[in-house]
Amino acid sequence: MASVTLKNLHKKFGHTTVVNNVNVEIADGEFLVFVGPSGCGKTTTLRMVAGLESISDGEIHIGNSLVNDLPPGDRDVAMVFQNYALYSHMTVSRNLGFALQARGVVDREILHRVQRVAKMLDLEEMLERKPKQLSGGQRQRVALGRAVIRNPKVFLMDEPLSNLDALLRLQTRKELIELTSDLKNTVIYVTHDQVEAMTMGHRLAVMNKGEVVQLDTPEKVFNEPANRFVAEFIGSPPMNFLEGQVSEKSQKKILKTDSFDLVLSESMNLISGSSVIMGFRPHDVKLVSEGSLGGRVTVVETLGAEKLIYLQVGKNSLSILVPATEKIRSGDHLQFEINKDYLHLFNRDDEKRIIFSEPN
Amino acid sequence: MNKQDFRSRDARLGFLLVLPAVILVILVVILPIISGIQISFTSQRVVGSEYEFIGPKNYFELFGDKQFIASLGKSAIWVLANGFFQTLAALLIALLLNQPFRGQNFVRTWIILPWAVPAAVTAILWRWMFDASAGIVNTTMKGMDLVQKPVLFLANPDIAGASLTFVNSWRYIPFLTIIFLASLASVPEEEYEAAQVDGANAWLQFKTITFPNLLPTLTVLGLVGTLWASNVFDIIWMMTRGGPGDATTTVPVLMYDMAFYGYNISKATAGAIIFLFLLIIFAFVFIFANRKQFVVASETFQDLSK
Amino acid sequence: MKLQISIFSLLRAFVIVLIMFILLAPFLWILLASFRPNMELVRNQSLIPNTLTIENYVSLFVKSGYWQWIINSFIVATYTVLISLPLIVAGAYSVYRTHYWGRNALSLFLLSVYIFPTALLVIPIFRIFNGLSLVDSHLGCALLNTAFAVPFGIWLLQAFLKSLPPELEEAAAVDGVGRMRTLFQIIIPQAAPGIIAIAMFAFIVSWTEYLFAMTLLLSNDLHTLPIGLTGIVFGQYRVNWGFAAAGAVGSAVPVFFLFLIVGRWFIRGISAGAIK
Repeated sequence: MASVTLKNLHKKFGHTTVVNNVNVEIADGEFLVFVGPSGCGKTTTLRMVAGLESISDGEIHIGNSLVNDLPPGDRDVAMVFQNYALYSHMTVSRNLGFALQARGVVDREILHRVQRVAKMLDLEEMLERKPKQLSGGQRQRVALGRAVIRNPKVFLMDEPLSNLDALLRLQTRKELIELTSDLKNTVIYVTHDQVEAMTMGHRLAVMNKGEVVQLDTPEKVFNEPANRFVAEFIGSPPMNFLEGQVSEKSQKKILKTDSFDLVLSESMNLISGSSVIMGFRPHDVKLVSEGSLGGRVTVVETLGAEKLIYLQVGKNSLSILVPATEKIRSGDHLQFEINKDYLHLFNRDDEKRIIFSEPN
Repeated sequence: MNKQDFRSRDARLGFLLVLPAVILVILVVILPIISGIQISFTSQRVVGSEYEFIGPKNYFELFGDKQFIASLGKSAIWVLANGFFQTLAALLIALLLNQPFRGQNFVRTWIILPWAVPAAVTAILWRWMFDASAGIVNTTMKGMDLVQKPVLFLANPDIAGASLTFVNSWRYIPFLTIIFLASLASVPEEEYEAAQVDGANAWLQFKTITFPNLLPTLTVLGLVGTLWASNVFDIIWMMTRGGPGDATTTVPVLMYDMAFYGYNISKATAGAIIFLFLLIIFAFVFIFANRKQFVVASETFQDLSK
Repeated sequence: MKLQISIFSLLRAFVIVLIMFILLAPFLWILLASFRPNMELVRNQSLIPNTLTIENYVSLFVKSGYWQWIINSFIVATYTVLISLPLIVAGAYSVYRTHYWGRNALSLFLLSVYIFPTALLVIPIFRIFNGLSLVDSHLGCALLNTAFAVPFGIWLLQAFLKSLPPELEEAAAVDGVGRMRTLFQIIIPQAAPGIIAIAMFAFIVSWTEYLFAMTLLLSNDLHTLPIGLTGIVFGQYRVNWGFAAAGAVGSAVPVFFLFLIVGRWFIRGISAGAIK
């Protein structure tokens, strides 16, 4: 068990910077998720920790040692690959035991550990089968077992659930959470799926264009996104954004957008004339019978317990989430209100979150 | 910049692994070429005999030798007819055999048999089939009243070259076909399905999917096949010895004859070096023109972050 | 529309049958001829034999050096396969699955052996091999065959090697499995169909080789099948066709059985995408 520290980490392929100055300290036993869209550098970061990619600049520490120059096999990390990388000519049992065998562990110990891991992952019946004879979920568990059996300092997981179908993914996600919290090894997990990231990670490192743009707990990332990118990427359905300008009218700050004007609460002490981006999540809106904001329904999506309504408000299309019991059809005219406690404001120029000091 | 990653670390391993093959090629190919160049500047007539250094005299003689110039022309025609024709025919046959049909496995296994038997067997088969009086080809044609007199496939200077080209193709096309079939099997099925959904017709599918996927194979066979064709010796030697007259005397046949039957190995070797030089020029031009196809696909390791 | 399709597939079937007929019928014809007396072959022009005889095979098996030749051919082919397999596997792994500067040029350099005019440079080869005591030796002959089997063999193996996911080696590397162990215990077993195909290729290259054997194998008792066969057929003024036919059949039969057993592996082994 060990902590992992990434310090000023850079990765360049030729002239392209793929990972740019990443600084993350991962505590011993923590489950940290790198999340971001494809091409954001999350997999490259993971592969640098594994030793599969060279480090262009910066340092990686595992425990107390600098591992920059250590080959992958000497770092005491185990990796689960997206395509599992099972050895198709070996039985499940040999797949599980291969790394130990290569490290010279005695046969009896290997057998013992294979059986323990097989029991843990419900693979006992499959030990003599080849990977080809297994289902997708079983293969995934073999891949996991191959990492678990080594009891390494750190688990590295590269989108390990993305090859499973939706239902199995949910179930495996739960099992993986239980397993890792039992084992207490440090986990670095890479995914593009923000729901997976939110549910599994103790902390998330949200990446975009090679940089970590926010490093925080799932709650914080969701409630206080550091910039517009995070606000848009995390949360489903995605946040609504409107550009506007702040003005002042009878002692009140007013946000003028091209669709409507919104009176801001007093704690939002913005300077008049500043350009901002306003964001609010679809479920932070409620329908009212009489209100200042309104629009025409263009699309109604039934999600089950809720309905996602697309509203044409002035020049903008906004989405709002309402209980499925509401009877709404496209073409209807709706009045709504935005919950100002959950209003997010970002600077127009750098798209960073505007933080207001609490009045108390 | 730190280079201590998983990939750069195996540079030494990679080099060590390929070294035995490289050493063998140097021993068997490069050294004889150097030695051959040395012989070509001497007056040696048979292996082991006395000789002296005579400079480029052999080369000057060859350039004035009508028989040698003629053999260069015959080799050029031979290479065009065999290298080019065979590759094209093999490609067409492979496309034909690639669609599923009953007995496909039988065909894909046994089509290769002509390539797998010694050239001597090929020579016996076709000399016997082409025989003027008892050969099956002539008896059948006469039986069907296609010809009055037997066709002298190997003894008529006008058609001996074509007959040899046919036999040589009979021998090599199956092998080339198999390689094309293997290459076709590697084309992802999804690409065809996507094209079919998009309503692409057979020709468009060939142009946009099959051909680009075959191109690396086609290029390597274009190069290697041409070199193979240019150096074909055994089948010509065993079927016609370059005859009748000089009708099928390509450069390899002429040089072999000059070395071992005309007792002039230094001049024959000089001819070999000239021929080699021409082939090297061809190879360089070919590789340069198709340089993109010769790049070893290393992208598998290069995929950036997903 | 339906009719068009069936006409097309009928035409296709006809062409396929025609091609296979041209490729394989000569073998049947020579098989038939090998059981006919030579005199009948020369005079009788009918397709159906009047008399069947085994006299040609008696000559081949008893009076010629057939058994010696076939043993020699097997010895040279076995050497060739045994030497070229490790060279091809190591070379292909190096060129297609490790990373170093210049491996593109190296793979081209290896293919450049086919520029070499074999018929013309047997003289210097003879001189060099004489110096290495490799003249009149099956091993020397096998080394030459190997040099010409390896470069194309490496290229043939590429499709299979490239289709193996790089994660196989990466997983092994992270697990601390050494590179050589990875090669032997993971890559080679995974590439087994490719390696079988390469072995067949090397075998056939050696089995059909004529020129090097003729140049290097001076003693009669070292001669391989192609040399022996050429001798009995083309050594005489008049070709004894019955005898020649029996010799041809005798040379083709071992290859026939080889393909009967492992033939269907050949295409599979040089195709990509066997691992899904």
